[in-house]
Parts: sequence; structure tokens; C-alpha cells
Amino acid sequence: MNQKECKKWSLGISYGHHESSCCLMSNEGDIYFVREEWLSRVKLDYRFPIQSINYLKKYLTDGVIDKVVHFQKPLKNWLSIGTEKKLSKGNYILKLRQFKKSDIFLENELKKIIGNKFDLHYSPHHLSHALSSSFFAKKCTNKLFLVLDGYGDGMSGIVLDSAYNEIQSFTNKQSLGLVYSALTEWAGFSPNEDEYKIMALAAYGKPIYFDFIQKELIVIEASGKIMINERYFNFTDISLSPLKANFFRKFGTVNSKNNQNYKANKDKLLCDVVCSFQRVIEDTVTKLIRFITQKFPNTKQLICSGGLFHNSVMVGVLEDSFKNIDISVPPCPGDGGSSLGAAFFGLLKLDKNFINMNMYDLPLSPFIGPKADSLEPYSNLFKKIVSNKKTLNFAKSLLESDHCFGVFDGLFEIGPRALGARSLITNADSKKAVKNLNEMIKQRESFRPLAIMLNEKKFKVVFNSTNINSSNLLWMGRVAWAKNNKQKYKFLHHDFSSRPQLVSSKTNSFRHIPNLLRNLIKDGFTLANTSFNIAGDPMVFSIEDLYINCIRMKLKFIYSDGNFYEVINENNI
Amino acid sequence: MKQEIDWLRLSNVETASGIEVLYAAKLFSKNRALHKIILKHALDEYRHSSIFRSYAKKYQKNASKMSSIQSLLAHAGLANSPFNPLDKNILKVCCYLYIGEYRAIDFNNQTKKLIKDDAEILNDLAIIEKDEEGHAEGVKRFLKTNHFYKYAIHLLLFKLRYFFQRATKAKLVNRFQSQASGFLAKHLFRMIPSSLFRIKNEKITLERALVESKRM
Repeated sequence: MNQKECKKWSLGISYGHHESSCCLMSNEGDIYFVREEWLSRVKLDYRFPIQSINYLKKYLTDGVIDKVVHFQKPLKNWLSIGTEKKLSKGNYILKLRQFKKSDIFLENELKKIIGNKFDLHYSPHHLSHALSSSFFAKKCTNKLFLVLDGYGDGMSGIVLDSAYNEIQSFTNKQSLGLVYSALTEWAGFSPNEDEYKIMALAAYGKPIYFDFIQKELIVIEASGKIMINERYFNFTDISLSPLKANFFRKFGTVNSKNNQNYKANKDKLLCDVVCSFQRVIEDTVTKLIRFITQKFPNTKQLICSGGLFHNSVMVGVLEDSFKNIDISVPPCPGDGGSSLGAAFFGLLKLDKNFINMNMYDLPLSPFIGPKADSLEPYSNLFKKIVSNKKTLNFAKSLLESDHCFGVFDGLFEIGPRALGARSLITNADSKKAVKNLNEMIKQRESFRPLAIMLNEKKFKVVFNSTNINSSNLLWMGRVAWAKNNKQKYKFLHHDFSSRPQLVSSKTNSFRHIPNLLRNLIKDGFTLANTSFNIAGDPMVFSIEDLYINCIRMKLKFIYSDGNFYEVINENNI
Repeated sequence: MKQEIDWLRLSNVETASGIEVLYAAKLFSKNRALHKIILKHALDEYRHSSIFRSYAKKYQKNASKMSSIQSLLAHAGLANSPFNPLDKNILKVCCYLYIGEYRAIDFNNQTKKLIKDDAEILNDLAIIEKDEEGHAEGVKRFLKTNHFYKYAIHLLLFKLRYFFQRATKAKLVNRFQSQASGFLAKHLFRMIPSSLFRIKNEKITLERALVESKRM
């Protein structure tokens, strides 16, 4: 039998909660990841990832799918909320509907698309999270995994040791993720979608309710146990609001609905409340980590995942609070990234020796998706205007004249954060350019902060954070705070913070960052970098999405495959 | 009257149409001229969506805030759409788009009846209607020149499908369904012993998870 015949594949699937995704992993180190929303064009698509599986089939040129692994235990997950007695009638109706549409019937769905021959397994929800982040694990034994999210398989979090044995777990009633979602709903935004907006709004408020929340609503005991007051929150009856009357009595109601004209600084109540909750959650997680590390004093690395770690302000606070521990957060810590963990679980079913696989041993980082198609054959949509060596000067002239350009180059980024390969880029030092990018091109709310890309030298001048080797600065996983001359930098948020992406020769895991951006940063530009999509849409994936988004955003220039292209818009649609 | 129209839904329906046309465009990527025409069709749908969204902002101040996924899947009906994005049958896809355009014109006419006095909105609706007619004509021309007989059969099948879809969505049926499911759900959950729902929370370990990987 030759080597090719031995190639075995594991297909990891994540769907049913927030973001569906699929990951195909082979025993030879090939990794292919796709999110359903890229193909379905429905943001945060949670449906069975039929299009992703179909898309990944093209990589199965040799070998067969040996294991299919779902990222959670579907029956356990379904049973974990809303099955208690004496809940409302609406709860039970919803529960029945959920059953019909749930991932319990995954096997039937799979049969329709990959046939009858597959070996289906289920990995526990929080173990999938931990395994997806395990590629960050350094080769030392003194590491722990911390997973905190909304809910899954009847739990909202877990702490695991380096051999993936449970140290501590958190129930649904202790869910910090559900608290944050409930707060998002209270503020008039969409829960499970707009949490990042709440995080941005927190910068405009003052934590005046901090003491009250910490005393009454979210308490962390000395034993590391989190208590959430059920008099304020409802996490059991799914047909009712997650917030109880007591919450509204204390904090009132907010009339500001999510819209483009929303002025963050005008709603003091909203900003103060979300700021207070943000601080309490940061404080609670800090105390939790302190408790864990006191119990395991030799801990050198804490690998964090779960939806709660999308909160880059919290990650920044944690990293600054624990200077002696390497706190690593993958670029896609939520459910979307869990299919990576599920596929890895499948490999472990094949051979437990894969347990030592980490990102730095692989030919490519696991946190990247498929390669962009070339624009060259689509000359009726995109006209090549500048090629090769002249691109750097052209990009500089665009940035200096406050223009924005799109990057559609190389391998796709898997997380919600744009890292430079599918990005909209402008000059972060120009207020006019940033305003144009935010309001005219992206058509998003003005209160949202900017993510930036910059070089090491400038980073040290602007920001307080000392650990420049942190992986969270490579993956934009954390927020950093400016140290002085705060007013000088136009790219800083209301609280003089930013989510910087540090680009230097050391950042090997960024092999997919286009050289053009590297060179611009090397030459001293600070780039505002935001995901390549119009507000509310998923990131551009195919040539068709690219064209449609460019016309809708009135974006003229695209950098791809070492060339600049102009978007052809004959009819000025 | 314009305050009572669900502009947000109209906008979401147009976005959903844009997505479906975008799927269709991918089937024509080898025929560059046709590919571009279909992309322009998708852009028209997105433009209509933004027109309706602007009216929603103006006249539907208390519209409930939905997540982007809810607005497309439930509110715009993308979840129940007969359009299958994996279907590579160009003929079937085009028939679907053709019927969709006429449904859109129907919706447009209903909206026009409600708006009698607002010249700006009526003007926008007239432009949208002209676009939809143009799209329908284009698809029809393609179908007739390429697959005339099959086209007629597919068209008939889609029409029948819509007829039955509408029938099952009748209010009376819906009300009966929800009453019955409410009654059943409540009593079903009462009858099942609660011990069945009690989850055994054993400590998670990788070893155990690998052994028990078949358990749901």
C-alpha cells in the first residue's frame, strides 16, 4: 500500500449555535477550514453547513473521510436548557421546535451529502473549544485551558489541565456569556451578534454600578465559584426574556435601538450600565484566573477560548494583569472555530500521538481558510491598473490622499477579525480617511473603534503594553491602551485604546499577510484594517461577492496577487 | 398608510433575492457576459433592499430589531425558500428566478395600492417594478432560446409549489397548528419523568471523551 492510500481525513462540524463551520484535517497535516456564512452569504449562519461540506469535498482528491466529528453532544445540549418542569407553555413549544430542527438529526443530513459510509462521533462542546485552541499550546507541561462561553452541553465553561482533564466546570446558571448576551438585548442590539458593539460602547461610560453588580448580580467566591443572581436573570425558560423585572427596575429601559444615527455619547444610562458590566466581567475572569493559578502555581501558559474571549478589551486587561503567564487566545475562539477542535478530536480517534501537534510544526497555520481566486480572468469586472513593483508607490499615494483600498489576496482568515488578507485598508493617521472608511464605505456606526496594523517601533511609542511577543498582538486578540500624547493619534478609541495588530519580521504565523501591507507598515504607515464587507454582510469570499461588495461600497481599488485592480462599474450602479 | 407597511420585511426579501441571484451568478462564471448581467441583477436587488430600508428607517421607527440571520431566514423566508444553492441545474434555477420576479411585481403592486399620495415612494416603486420586469424578461428570453419545453414544465411545477405553500400558510391552519402543538408540548413534557432529562455531569477528560465519542 503506498502512502497516498493511507491518507486519512477527519471532518469536524460545528453548527446549531451561532456560526456553522467545517474543518477537514488529514493525518498528514493538511487543514482546510470553511465557514458556512462565507458561502451562504447569511451572516452568522448557524444552519447545517451543507455548502461548506460540499465545498470541502474538492480537497478530498486522495483518501477518504475516516471520521466525522460534531463539536458537541446534541442530545445532551438539547436537554440542558428548558426541559425542567413548571416552565411556561411557550418554552415547551419552542423546545419541541428546537428538537425538530436540532443537530440531533445530523446523521441524516450528512447522509444526504456524503453518502452512508462515515463514522460519526461527538466531542464534548467545551473540549472542542479547548482542542481548537490547543494549536497554540507550547511544548511545556505547565499549561491550562480555560473555556468560557454562553452555553453548550449543559455547561458554560470549563478549566482543563494540560492532559485535558477537567479541573473545574461552570453550569448554565453561572454563564458570563449569557449575561453579556442579555445585556446586549437590553441595550437594544441583537444578542449573539452585536456583543462587540456593547464592548465598544462601554468605553463611553463610567462604571458607576460596578459595586452593586459585583455585590448583587455577579459574585465570585473565594473558591472560584461564580454565582449569578437568578432574581435578575432567567437562563432556564427559553421563551421568556433573559432579564427579569428586577433588572429593569434597577437599570431601567433603553430606548435607543441599534441604528446608524445612534450617538453613543448621548445615552449616558446605557453607556454607564454596559461599562459597569464590562468591568465586572473583566474583574470576575481576572479573579477566576488568579484562583486557578494559585491552585496551580507553576502555570506558564493559559490558553483561552469560548465566545467570551471575543471580548478583546477583557483579553487586554487579563494580559496586563498576569505578566508572568502567557495568555493565548486563538483568532476564532467562539463556536465558529470549534470545528477545528472537532476535526482534531477525529485525528485523536485515529491516533492519540497527534496530541502534540501544534501550530508551529504545521506547514501552514490552522487558522486560515482557502486561497483567493485570481482576478485576472475576470477582466470584464476588474481591470488591472498597476502591477508588481509599482504597487507600493500606488498604495502610498492612495493612503496619502485619504483613499481606501480593498485587499483580496492569499489565504482567507477564519476569525471575525480582519488580519490583512481580506481587509479594507486606509491611513489610520488621517481622521478624514477613517471617517470615510467607517461611514461611507463600511456604512457602520460611528461609535465603533478601529483596528490597526503597525510596526514594532511605533507600537512601543504609542502603547503601554510591554509584552510585544504576545500572540494576541499578532491575531488582534487584545486591546492595548495608549500611554502618552493620547490626543495625537486619531486611530484611538474614545478611551484611548485600540486593537493593534503588530506586524514585524518575527510574526511568522502571518505568512499570509500580503507583502504590500508588510512593506507599507515597514515604511511607517499605521493602517486602519477592517473586514472586507459591507455592514451586516459576511466577509467577501468569491469573486462574485467581491464585485458586488465593491460596487455597493463604491470601492474603486483592489489589491490582489501582487497587482492593483480597478473595479469596472460602467453603469454607475 | 405608509407607516403601516412592513418596509423592513420588503427590504429583507430583496436582500434574500440578491443572495439567491448571487448563487445563480456562480453557475454562469464561464459565460463572462451573462455572468456580469446576473451580477447586475443581484446588485439591483441589493439596491431595492436599501431603498426599502431607508423607508423602514423613516416610517417604521418601532420596528423590532432582528439579528441579520433572523431577518433573512425567518422574516424574509430564506429558510423555507425552495432555492437549493447546491443545485447546479441552470434551467431549474432560472425558472425559480423567473417566478420570483413575478412574485416581486405582485408585492410591488400590493404596496402601490396602499401608497396613493406619496410621489417619492411611488416613483421608487415604479423604478423597482421596471427593474423586476426587465429581469423577468431577460430570464424568460434565456429560457425560451435554450430550453423551451423543459422550461414550461418547470414553470408549471414552481407555480403549483407556490400555490400549495400559500395554502398551508393560511391563517386558520397556522392557528390550529400552534394551538395543537402548545397543548401537546405542555402535556408531553409533563408525562415524561424528569429523571429522563437529568443530565449526568461526569467530569470531562479526553480519555473518557474518546471512549464515549458515540454518545450523543
